[in-house]
Amino acid sequence: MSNVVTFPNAKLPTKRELRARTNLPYQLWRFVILNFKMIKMITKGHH
Amino acid sequence: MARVVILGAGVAGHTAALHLRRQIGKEHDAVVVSPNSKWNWIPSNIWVGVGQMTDKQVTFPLAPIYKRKNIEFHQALAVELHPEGGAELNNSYVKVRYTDPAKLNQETNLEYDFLINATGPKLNFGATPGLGPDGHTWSVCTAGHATETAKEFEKVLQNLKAGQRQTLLIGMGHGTCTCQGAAFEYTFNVEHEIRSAGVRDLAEIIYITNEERLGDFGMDGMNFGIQGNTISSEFFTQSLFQERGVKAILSAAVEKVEPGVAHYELIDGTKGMQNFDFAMLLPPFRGVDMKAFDKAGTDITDQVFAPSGFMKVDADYSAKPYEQWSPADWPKTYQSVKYDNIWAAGIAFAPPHQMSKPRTSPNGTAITPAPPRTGMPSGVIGRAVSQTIAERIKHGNAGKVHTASMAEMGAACIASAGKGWLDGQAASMTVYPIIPDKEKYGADGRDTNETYGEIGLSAHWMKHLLHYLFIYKAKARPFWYLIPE
Repeated sequence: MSNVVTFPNAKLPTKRELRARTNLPYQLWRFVILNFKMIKMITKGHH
Repeated sequence: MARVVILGAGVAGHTAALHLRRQIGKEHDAVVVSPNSKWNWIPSNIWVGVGQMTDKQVTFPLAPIYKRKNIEFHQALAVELHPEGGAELNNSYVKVRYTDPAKLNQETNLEYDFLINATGPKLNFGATPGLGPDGHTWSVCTAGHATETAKEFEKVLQNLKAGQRQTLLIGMGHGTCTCQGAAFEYTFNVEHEIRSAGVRDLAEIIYITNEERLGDFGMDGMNFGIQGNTISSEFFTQSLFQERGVKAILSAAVEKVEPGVAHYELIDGTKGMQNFDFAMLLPPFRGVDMKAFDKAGTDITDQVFAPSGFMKVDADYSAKPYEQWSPADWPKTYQSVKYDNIWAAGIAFAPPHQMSKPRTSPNGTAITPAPPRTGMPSGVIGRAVSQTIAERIKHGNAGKVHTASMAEMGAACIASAGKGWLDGQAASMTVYPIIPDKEKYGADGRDTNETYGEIGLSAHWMKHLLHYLFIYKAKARPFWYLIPE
């Protein structure tokens, strides 16, 4: 018996989500958001 | 005049050295001891391992930086710690053995007033027979390893292009490994390269891990707050595995590797084996092999270091069940339990316990990820320790003690899933706090407003930006200190 598993019940991204992951204007916006999230996290981590 | 010796020049040690030099006057000495002549931005080694970067892009020589910053540098390995002095010297000292080719294997004693142990991990390939570049698997733990791995991966790509089916096994090479994130990244970068080469249908990619479930990452998993919903890291990670056609072997302890086959034990005690054409399996970590002696020369290694070889600091090491683990168990100052002028920063400190629930197979094999403390926490701890020492130098025992508890610290992790300015992907994850706090945040253990995950091209850009930013910082270029850890 193989112990190698797959995840057939996992939720796959929709076509729209996949497009969004590489859509340049949207990703530029997400890059800005991501920067803010990182800065916030870094600020909380530094005492 | 005070003399501060820093053992190690990785993320924690190098960060501590640079910050310390800025904070203390020129009359004081900052000394770095590292067996490596180069600094390595380890998070980018996964790109070296698939041939998308060279080792020169992720490393640079330390000596010129330290010369410019007036930091004394010894390319050497620390072998003995004498915190009370000894027969050879009255003051505290550390015995080092040079790896510098000009003084190879010569030994000397370096006196210190304050010591930071930031020696990082020993890559314990020996824990699993056949594991590692000297055995039958590859590694991305160092830039050199990653370069060799890239050459072997290129052969796999050529075989695939020639129409040969290939099985690639990537993950953990032992039941107690940490750094699941690095293996995760390497898995998806390999998948990305194979897909980009147009031969994905011929490759079977299997991720083997000691995690109970995907997305544990040695942190007991986490729940992401995404658009008002709570999504588990398991759900998040499974989705990526299924989307990219990557399979997994979960709850596995690799116990032996032979040419082309990995033998493992599962948490239920059953044994299995997996054939492979290419395997990149990470080793478990342990502390470096440094001994400690008291004034009389008696071996006190067990009082200074935990059995794992990591240094015992201000943590609660009393044995207690998972249900009683507390964020308060984790260290705050990283000061040695035995000597008040010694600290351990980064991977070198002994954690009080894991974060993930400890599990053992019926055969007694531990199959539990060790707690991660690389990257951001290492840098933050290195800086805090350097600040504490600078305060001690300036104000004696009245100096402020800086803290950096991982129970009060967040972490940001960008896990690459493929390199490319327009088609790259990465999972961006933030977690707060690193150590779960179920009393404060309920069953989640973390603040779901601050714990977040997202996959996209922007995260890849961020990973690339961090690559250049942290190398700039490590080179101590102008205003490097404005870049946070």
